[in-house]
Amino acid sequence: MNTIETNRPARGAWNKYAQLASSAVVYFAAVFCCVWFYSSDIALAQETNNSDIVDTTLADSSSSDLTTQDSSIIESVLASSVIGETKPAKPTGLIAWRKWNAFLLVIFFSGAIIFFTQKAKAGKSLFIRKIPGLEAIEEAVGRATEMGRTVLFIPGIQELDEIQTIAGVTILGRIARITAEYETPLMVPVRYPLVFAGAQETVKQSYAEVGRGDFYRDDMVRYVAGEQFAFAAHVNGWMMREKPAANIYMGGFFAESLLLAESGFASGAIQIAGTAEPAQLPFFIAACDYTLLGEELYAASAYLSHEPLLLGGLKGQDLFKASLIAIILLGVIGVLVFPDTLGNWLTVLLNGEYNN
Amino acid sequence: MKRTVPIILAVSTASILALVFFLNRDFAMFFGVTPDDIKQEILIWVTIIGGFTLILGVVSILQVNLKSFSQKKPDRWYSLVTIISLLVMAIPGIFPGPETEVGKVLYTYLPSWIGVYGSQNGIIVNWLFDHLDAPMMSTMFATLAFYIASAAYRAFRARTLEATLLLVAAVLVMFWRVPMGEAVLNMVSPEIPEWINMILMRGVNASVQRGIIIGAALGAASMSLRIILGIERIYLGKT
Repeated sequence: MNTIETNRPARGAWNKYAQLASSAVVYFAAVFCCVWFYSSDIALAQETNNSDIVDTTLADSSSSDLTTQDSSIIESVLASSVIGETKPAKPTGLIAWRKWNAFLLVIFFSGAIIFFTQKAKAGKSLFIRKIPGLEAIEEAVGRATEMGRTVLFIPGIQELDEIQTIAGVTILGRIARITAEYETPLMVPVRYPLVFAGAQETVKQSYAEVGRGDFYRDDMVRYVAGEQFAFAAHVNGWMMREKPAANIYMGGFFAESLLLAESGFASGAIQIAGTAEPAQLPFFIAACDYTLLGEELYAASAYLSHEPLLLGGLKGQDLFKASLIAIILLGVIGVLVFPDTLGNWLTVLLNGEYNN
Repeated sequence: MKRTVPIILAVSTASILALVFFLNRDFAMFFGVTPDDIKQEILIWVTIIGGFTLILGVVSILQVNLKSFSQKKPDRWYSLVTIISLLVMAIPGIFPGPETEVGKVLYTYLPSWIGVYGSQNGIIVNWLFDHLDAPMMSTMFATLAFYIASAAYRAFRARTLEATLLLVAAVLVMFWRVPMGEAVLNMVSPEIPEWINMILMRGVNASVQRGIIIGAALGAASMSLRIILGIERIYLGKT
């Protein structure tokens, strides 16, 4: 266990971050307020429309024969209208109020992250649990440098719109900075063209940022194959021929996880894996030296950066997780001991039922 | 500008998609489109961009393998096979079918080629897929059994308390899942299979998996928020 001390960057950088963050929040809030403002008008308009529909349909029904389908439509409209009903009207309008619980959680979660980010900005040191797998990354790259061999990095086999791939690409950015500083060869095979473009740009920028742009080569990131097992076959063959010193797997993996990890083990590389796929974690644990479990994958980029702004996000996440654990425990007690009060209240909170 | 525009794009797109989650279909009454339409439209943009990047992918494959072959590297023959495979699969696929305007003209002069190219059933691409691609993929998947055996051999060696617990749990689950093992367990006591299911799988296993899933979901949300707020910018090469 150790403490990562945050370094306070130049004031100008903070101002830039603060401006960006506050602009995003103001933008988000402004759009939300506009939508809220118009929602009441739309709700009224829809209630009027419902009445009109009922009147029109009833008028039509008197002058023509109705099919069974027409009757059911009228019944459903009548059931949903406010005529003769004492039950409160179903919520309408622009905002999906039934998701109030999710909105509440988003606000609390965002608040926790912003709070700790601000705390980090103020120069307070933040305690972050040591993650052995991430501590070993620099060691693995150092080993590759000493051996004069390549570092293999795979950002998963999912498309770029998957959050695990985004996490993988952000970690790639951090690792590319280390390989650039150490002048260690890097190989990044990818399965999707969009990931190829994203990863290539990330590596290129990372090399440029540390002033080693001349060491960057376009073939560091390679589009290999669109097929899952063709991709695995290519990477396995490459590993057995080239014998990389360090294999880093970060992202979403499926049936090919063990094929890759076992080949890597056979090639004698130090292996670090991270995925949020629970079904693949046992394979990585069995075949790799270090494995990042679930959330550690998403924390890796912030952890490797040692940036207070990013570490603040991790602390916020931890606070939210602690709150969730408390809610789960409270829920268990509530359902067992006070099912009609606390248990019911928590069920409403989790189900997000509106106006029940 | 080089970094500001991508950040604005990332922040605004992510904000829109997050906001869409909290909107009703009544949104269409005011703006003419439903929240789902907006989401679908953005996903279509992603698909279009993905289509363009496919060209980059093909160029990357050709560049890497042609370079390897021309420089006479030890693995140059694999590169040659890759290039030939790419062309053999791609050319019949992009050649116009007989139902297209170009195909009608082309196959007037080359009637024997009808039914071989294009996108209809029974063409050469389908044949290549069914008789080469699919069997090779199945073969790769089948080798997984051997990899599992070698990984399990290492993982299940009872060197520590944790490894011993893993070994015991694995043996019990294997006994429960294999029909013959289940029959043996039933002979000892019919309650044992149910006990393994309840305690190991639906108890310990399910709770640990849910813990990992909840943690991963929070991590994903936290990371999304860092990107939406423009804090995480490493994808631009910036710490």
